[in-house]
Amino acid sequence: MSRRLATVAAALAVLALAATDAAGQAAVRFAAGATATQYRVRSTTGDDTETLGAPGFGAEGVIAVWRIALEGRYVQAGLEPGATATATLARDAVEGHLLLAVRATPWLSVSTGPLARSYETTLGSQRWLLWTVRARGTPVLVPDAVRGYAELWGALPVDIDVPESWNSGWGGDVGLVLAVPRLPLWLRLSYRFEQYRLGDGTRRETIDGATLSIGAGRLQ
Amino acid sequence: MPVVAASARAQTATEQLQYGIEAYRNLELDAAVGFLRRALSAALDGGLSAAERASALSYLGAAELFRSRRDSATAAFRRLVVLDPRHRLDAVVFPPQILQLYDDVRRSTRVVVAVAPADTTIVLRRDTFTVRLYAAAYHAIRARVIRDDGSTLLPLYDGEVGDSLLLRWDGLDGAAVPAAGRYTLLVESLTPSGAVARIVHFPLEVEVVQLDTLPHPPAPADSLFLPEQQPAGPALRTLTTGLLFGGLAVALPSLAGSGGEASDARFAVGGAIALGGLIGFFHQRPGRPIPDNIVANQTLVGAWRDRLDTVVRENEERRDPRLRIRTGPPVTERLETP
Repeated sequence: MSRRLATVAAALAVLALAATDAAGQAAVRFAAGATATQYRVRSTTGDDTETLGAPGFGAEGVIAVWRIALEGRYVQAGLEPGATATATLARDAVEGHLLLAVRATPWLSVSTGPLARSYETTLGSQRWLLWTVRARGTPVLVPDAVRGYAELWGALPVDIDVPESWNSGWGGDVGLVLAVPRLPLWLRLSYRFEQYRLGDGTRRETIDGATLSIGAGRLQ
Repeated sequence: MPVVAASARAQTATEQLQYGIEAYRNLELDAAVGFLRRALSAALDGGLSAAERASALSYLGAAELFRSRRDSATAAFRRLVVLDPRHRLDAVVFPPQILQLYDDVRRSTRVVVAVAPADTTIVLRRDTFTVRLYAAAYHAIRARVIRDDGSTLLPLYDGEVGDSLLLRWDGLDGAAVPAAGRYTLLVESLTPSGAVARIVHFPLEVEVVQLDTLPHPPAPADSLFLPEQQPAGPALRTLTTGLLFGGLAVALPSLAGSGGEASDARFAVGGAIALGGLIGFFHQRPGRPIPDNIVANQTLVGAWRDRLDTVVRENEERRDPRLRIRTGPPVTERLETP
């Protein structure tokens, strides 16, 4: 799976570099990059808490025409239980999202699309399919070099393999994007936090961690 | 058909000229002289162009010489020389003895023609009004500009003239601007004894023109200038945004009541964002020069100064009065022979 992921990331990067030259200042833009993330999952039911974590790796890309963009991201991680959670099983996590975004202003865009996540353990799998609605602000911090990045979103369930009923779900991703001067390269550092409440709120699924992405093309 | 018979229907001076030339070529010399004289006669004279008149006089002189009337031939050639001192007979058409007589007449005829633009304007104290004189033969001349009442405004030249001579008049009456009105350029051709042989009257209609000065172009409006120093607003907005986003990264878990369980990496990310805001603040700090805007403003002012300089130069030229000079047809007055 890691080899396939690396191949996808490399192909996206090459495509983004090529598209940067081809598109130039045209209305079509393309960007792709590789992602490394600190993948932390915490599942709390009543007084019991399971904590898992591991580095996750993935790829992301965006293709945009005028103000409309299609964005996608894929990340996978082999989660290991935390030191204090001895009864917890390791699990492989795979997640991805696909978003249709509209840029309302140069620094504000809204998007919507599915978010899918799967956990695989030795006992079986658990799948989450959610629909998200997001708002993202990217104000300029240093002209032509650094932009702030903050995205908040809410989620609605589409298909979740859990016994409890859906209560609420939301998340956020805050960071900054650095554009490398005179090169079509970018670097993003962000911290994401997601939380889903199930049942009457006694079960909470929380995912958070820092993410570092590097890519080529024009993100904005 | 004999030319004489056909000539009965000839009406115009040009037709008379054509029949005269044809009769000359047929050696019907008496008829040729008749046609040519009628073509040149006062009643029909206006019907010939200058080139046709020259042609008529050329053939008339030649026909008269072949009729052994040398004096008449000389008179015709002299009229031709007075009409155009630069005229030369065609050596292909006329035999050597005709050419020889014409050259003799030309060398002995003291006359000039004056050539100048029909309508020209000169800037006083900068330009000159020029008249080119063409002489039939080397001789002495006197040239001066006279007023309408006959008094001399300005002597221009007193000396010899060869093939041609350029007369220049600065348009001034001494050092003063002349009054508008009629003047005459008078060129007297002198005999070796100093007597006036011919006078060319070249009428000049003079008009003094004073142009209005142009208004100076207005200086660029303040609204066109870009700020040359960073205002405080963008820098403070950047700093505020950086701190706000950094704080949001740190506080995100707390919004869900999970602050204690979240990754400490959020502090690093929050700090990086705040640092970005701080760098942005110093990058756009208030009072910092904006080189692009400074250059743009300098370009704007430079373009305005160029336009201003152009207008100032133009106005300096417009302050000098101009003289519009229109010339009339020159008239040659014969006083003595030749």
